[in-house]
Amino acid sequence: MILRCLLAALVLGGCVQSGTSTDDPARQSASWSWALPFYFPTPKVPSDNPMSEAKFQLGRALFYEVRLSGNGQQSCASCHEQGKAFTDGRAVATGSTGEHTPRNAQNLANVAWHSTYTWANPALVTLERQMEVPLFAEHPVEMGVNDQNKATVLARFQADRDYVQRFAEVFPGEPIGFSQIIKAIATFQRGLISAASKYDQYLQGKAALSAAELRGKDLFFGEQAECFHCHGSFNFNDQVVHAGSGLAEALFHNTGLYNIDGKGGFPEPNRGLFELSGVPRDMGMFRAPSLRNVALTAPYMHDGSIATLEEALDFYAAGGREIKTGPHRGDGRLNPFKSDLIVRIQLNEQDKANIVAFLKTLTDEKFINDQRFADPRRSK
Amino acid sequence: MKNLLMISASLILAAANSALAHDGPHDDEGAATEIHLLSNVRYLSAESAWPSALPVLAASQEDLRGMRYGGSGLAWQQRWLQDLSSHVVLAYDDHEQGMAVDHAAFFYHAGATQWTLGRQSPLLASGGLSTWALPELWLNTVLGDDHWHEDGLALRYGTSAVIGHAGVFRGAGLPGAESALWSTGLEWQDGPWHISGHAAYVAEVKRSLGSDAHTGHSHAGQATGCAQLIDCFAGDTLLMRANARWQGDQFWLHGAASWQKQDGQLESTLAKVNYQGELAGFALEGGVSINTELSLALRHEQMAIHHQLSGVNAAQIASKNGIANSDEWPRQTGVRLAWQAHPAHLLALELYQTHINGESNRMAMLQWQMNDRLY
Repeated sequence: MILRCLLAALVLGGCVQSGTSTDDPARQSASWSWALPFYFPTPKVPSDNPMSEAKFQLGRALFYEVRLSGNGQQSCASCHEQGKAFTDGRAVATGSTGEHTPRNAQNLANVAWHSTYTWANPALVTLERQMEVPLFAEHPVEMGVNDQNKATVLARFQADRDYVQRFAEVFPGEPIGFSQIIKAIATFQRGLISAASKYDQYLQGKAALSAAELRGKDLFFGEQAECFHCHGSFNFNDQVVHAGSGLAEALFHNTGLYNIDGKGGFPEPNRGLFELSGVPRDMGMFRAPSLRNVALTAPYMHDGSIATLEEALDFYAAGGREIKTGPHRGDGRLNPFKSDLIVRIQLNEQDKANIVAFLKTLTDEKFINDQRFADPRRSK
Repeated sequence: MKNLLMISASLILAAANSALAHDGPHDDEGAATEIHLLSNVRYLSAESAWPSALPVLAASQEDLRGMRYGGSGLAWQQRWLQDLSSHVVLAYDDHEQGMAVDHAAFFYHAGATQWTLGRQSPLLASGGLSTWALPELWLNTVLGDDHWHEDGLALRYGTSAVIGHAGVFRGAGLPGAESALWSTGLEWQDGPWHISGHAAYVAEVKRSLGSDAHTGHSHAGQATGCAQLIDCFAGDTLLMRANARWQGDQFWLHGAASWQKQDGQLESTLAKVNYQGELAGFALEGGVSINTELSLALRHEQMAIHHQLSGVNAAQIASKNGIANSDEWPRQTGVRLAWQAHPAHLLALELYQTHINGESNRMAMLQWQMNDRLY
């Protein structure tokens, strides 16, 4: 230190500085601050729906609000439970009228960075647009809001003095409408940050991984298991958009889960991008989900047809799935539209156990227990 | 390390005669043609790689351990007219692992003025401490381990006490330079004192941050796909060096300060952010001539690194490019024992202790320099 000061004082009058300073104005504003690790990019927030704490808290209340469904029986949280990393533990979700959706409810951790939403819809690029699906969808019914009951649903909030006050604070001069409800819930969802898993602690030098977890990490990010090709981002997926993004890439993959007709067919109405495009090569193409908290989000795949992490690894190691009996009979490994990334992988049982051990380090206990994300009516 | 010390001792005892550096023409009024055989053979032994990865943009990935031959080759000096001469050096380049044209320049003298046209070393390159076998930490960080060559025109004007110089060069020596390098400087000498200051400026630098400092013998490289595929720095670069030397009959003392400032943008795949970076280097050297053949010197170098990024994803871009944490002062202390028992041969042993990124590294380097006139 003495020598350093002497040198600096002698040579440059002590004006030399050392260190790195960064300033990202998009991470902080008067009304919101993103508390993110250094390896998380700054989220992209629509200019017409900026973040604020009051809006986040309003969205939180609405997220857990059963009065938001047509029959007053279901809330967003019915299919997105905090303790299950905002999934529901079922193969496919059940709507407010008891109707099953064809797909598995997705986890909501770090959804702010997804470039598309739902399992296979490249057109849904904002949370605001995505939310119209569960709110207003009729085939199947989820929240069950429709033209006949819209006014009734809104009247529930317009008659609630607390909500009236909070909406007026967050959206001054605007009526209580679905546009405002959607913006508030989207703000809450953008604030659902999972960045305190054991792996995050490891990245920040605050925790050590066990030998098995480290070996699993190396396999995950290595060319042997190749998981990272589709799950290699900070969010453990391959669809990431952020405040600095230029053109956001939206990748979808056919993993060889089905091949019901020997020509690559997937069972209706779960045929991936094909459902929207009708283009044959889009058959079975789905978004790779984020693997954060993956140990809590079973069952897996777009239709919840794989029950455990171990089975999921067996499926990828085999390069697809062969179903020998039943209506979905067929060898997905031979699906002609299967991604080139899904090939048979040489993994022994220890390798698989190590990868599972690593995947479990992505569980964020703070995230699933954080009272800030919990039902405000029940939170401590 | 023990073996190396034994080897060095035996080499020192067995060697004969001295060496010269090969930069610049030799003034021999009597000879029209001179051809010299040059060697600069070095062997670096270290506990871990040198240089360690520093928190600087596009930190060099090159490990200089083992044998190095860079600078070994042939030098041809030709006096064409009384005031016109040329100097060509064809030497081995460690990075390219082949021979390369180190120098190829014409010198024209007109009174106190000297013009140099062609490939040469900018005076700023030699503006630091005296030449040791291991490159200066600051210079190595800025340029990578290579001789600094530039193609261009330099003017030098001097009186007995003061020399000024200015030059314009292609800028190929500075990694990523896409426009001319302008340089200038002033030197003052009075008795045992010598003080100098040099500066160089490149207005347009575009440099890939994913690759090594080098892109071959010439450092300038193509940076394509910036912000789409790779991260790049785009901006300007200012280099400044100052040094003061006192040379007594037996002792010498030498201090130097070097400074690089980069100002522009980091064009990352994550976003474009404003960037200002500084790399300061300080060095002190003290030495003693034990007798006419042996000298002993001690050198201490220290650097300060500063980065400032502002814009979307600034922290992540800093992390991605290895500059998120630069709050450390890399330092290196060395001792050099040189034996010049013959005018054409020099043997040196250098021992170092470095402290970079919180890790220490002990090193030893042997050097054999030769400058033997063949013709």
